[in-house]
Amino acid sequence: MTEAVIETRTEEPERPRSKLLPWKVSEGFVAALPIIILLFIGFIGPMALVLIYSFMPRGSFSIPGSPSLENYVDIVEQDFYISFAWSLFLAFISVVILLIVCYPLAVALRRIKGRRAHLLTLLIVAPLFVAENIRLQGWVLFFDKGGFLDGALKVVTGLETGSLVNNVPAIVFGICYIYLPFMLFPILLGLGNVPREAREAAYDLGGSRWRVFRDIELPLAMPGILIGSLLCFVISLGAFNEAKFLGKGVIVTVAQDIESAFTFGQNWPRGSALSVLMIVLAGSAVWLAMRRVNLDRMLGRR
Amino acid sequence: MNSGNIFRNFSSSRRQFLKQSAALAAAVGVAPAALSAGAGSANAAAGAAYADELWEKTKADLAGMSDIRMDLNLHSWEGYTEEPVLDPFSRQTGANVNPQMLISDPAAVNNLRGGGTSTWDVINLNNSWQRNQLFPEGLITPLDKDKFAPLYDMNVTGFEWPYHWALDESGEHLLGMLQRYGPAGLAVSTDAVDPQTMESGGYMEMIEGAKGQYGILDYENWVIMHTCIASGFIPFREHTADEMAAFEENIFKLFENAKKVSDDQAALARDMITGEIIGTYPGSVYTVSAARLEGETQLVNVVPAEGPEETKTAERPNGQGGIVWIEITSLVNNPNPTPLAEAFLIYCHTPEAAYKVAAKAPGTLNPVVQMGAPEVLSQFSQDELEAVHWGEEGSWLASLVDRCIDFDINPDYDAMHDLYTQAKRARGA
Repeated sequence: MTEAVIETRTEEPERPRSKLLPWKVSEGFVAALPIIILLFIGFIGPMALVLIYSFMPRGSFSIPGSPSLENYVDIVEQDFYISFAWSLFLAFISVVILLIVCYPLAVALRRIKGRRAHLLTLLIVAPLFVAENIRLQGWVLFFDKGGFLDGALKVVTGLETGSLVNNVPAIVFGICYIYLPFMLFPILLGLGNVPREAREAAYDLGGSRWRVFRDIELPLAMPGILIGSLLCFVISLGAFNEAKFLGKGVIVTVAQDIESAFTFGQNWPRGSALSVLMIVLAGSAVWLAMRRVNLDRMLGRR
Repeated sequence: MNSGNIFRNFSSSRRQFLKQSAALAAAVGVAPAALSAGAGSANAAAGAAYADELWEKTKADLAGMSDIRMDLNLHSWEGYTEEPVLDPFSRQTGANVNPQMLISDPAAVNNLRGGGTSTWDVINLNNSWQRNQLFPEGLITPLDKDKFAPLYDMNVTGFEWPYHWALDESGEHLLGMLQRYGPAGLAVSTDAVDPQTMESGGYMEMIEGAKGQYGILDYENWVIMHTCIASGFIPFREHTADEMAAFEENIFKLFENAKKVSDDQAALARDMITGEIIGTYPGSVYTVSAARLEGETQLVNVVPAEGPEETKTAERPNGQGGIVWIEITSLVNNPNPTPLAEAFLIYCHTPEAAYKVAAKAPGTLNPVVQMGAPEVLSQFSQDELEAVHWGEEGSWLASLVDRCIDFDINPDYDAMHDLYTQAKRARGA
């Protein structure tokens, strides 16, 4: 009986290959098929449409048309660099501020245990359950002339703040406020890669607080820091509501230019060209960052 | 253009301003007939009765129909997307109404061009799109003229049958029904500025005289249109190189001198109330009506008393310095139509629904042309009439409208929009 079973196993024929697919279909590929289809329909397809539209002439509302570079030429000639510069600046400065704010906060959260940690995490996550534009409108009502801060100060001290919105720092504040969780939680995960024993060993060997931070904590937590920074940089590049509500027209971001082109501008091709440039910009930032670091090694996969 | 004289505390009451407006209107030659507009035609009451009868008949007809699509997809400005308007219609017809509010006329037109005719049944846009673009492009379908024309009897003077913007070029096809309308010029707080100074000084009084103290209400096509008038010509024709240069100079000046830029009319109204800004460019009755209903009657719409040279006629020697918009509701050329779409247009003309379209939109009140019918007008409270600048027998609103040219298509819009976006970006340079 045993021999028969062994024989049967050794003679088991190779799994037949699909007639449609000449290569062997792996189980991993089959398992990934739903997400591949979803990504193709929901991501690659629209991206391809946007790319094609960006080469269509002005006034095109459907794909057929003679391709041209006029949209890209217009973008260069019509000072769109101002919007790109502001979007890049806002993304960069916001990431720097978020790093400064979130790192110590994450360290503190790691050290707090039990119910207090859960409560603090809940308090940080709770705003995410409220729509972004409502939260931003709340800050407008807080900071604006005659708003909560101005009114309360006037009643209590007789002093007035006037309007504290309608400026670039207000926009930066809005971006940092909205995207704080997107920096905090990856850093928290990154700090999870720092074993307490490694830190204690470093101290035992005479390392100063700064050296332990520089040589032990920071490198081990870097995957989280990097992921948080990239995430915040890319989504801050598309900042729209923050500039609209808190900036009140003091500057124009690329996202606002794209919205204008698709709506009042009746210029889908230009909106598409601006979108393509934004995607290239965000993609380049990710590519550059990932070139400098080996995420697999950091995560200990090899 | 000295800002010092206009930012003194202007303490005239609303009534005083009303009197002053009427006097100014008379001074610039507004005909008495125009000032009495708002009182509708002699047939207005009959028109309202016809609307009720037609609605009852339509409901009975719908009840007798089987196998009709009971979903009604509505793409419109905010007046038609709210529960006070939609719930009674749904209740009486069994329709499942799916409203989507517009963000701009051009965006909605592009939506239809991009295949939205398969989605939408009813489209509500400002006048001229229907006649100049939607109907010629086959995106909307004409109404039954015999059935709908009698409803025009309800309208205030100036919007009677046959109405130019509701008909196609041949005059044969009825393209839609009018309802909300409003004059557009500037909006100011009379606490901060003398509205008569703005009326006589026009748009440049705000751009130059109120430098750093006004907000731009950033409805892009409207900013462009008013800047054309500020530059001395109407927007609705092709423009010379000199006119484009004048436009460029003024649009850059407009953005450079503005304190705030926002597409949130409520936020700008709040800024006027707190004294953060003295007024908005542009401004309309609808941009200040909600605040006026809350008692902030110091916020008013003003229309420049003098318009471009080409608008000056023997009847109007000072021309027309504002733009009046008129919303027209049409049937989308949906390949799978539903009779509910036509029924909805009829329903909106019943006096109760017409009042709700005017007064129950979120964040704004607008006059409707059906206020010519006493059955509609009588439903408005005095405060609501004050909010929409109605005045004695509609004279205040009529005098504002009389100073306006009709909204139309700007053939140089693309080039002007490019200049507009450049001027806006230049604020951050």
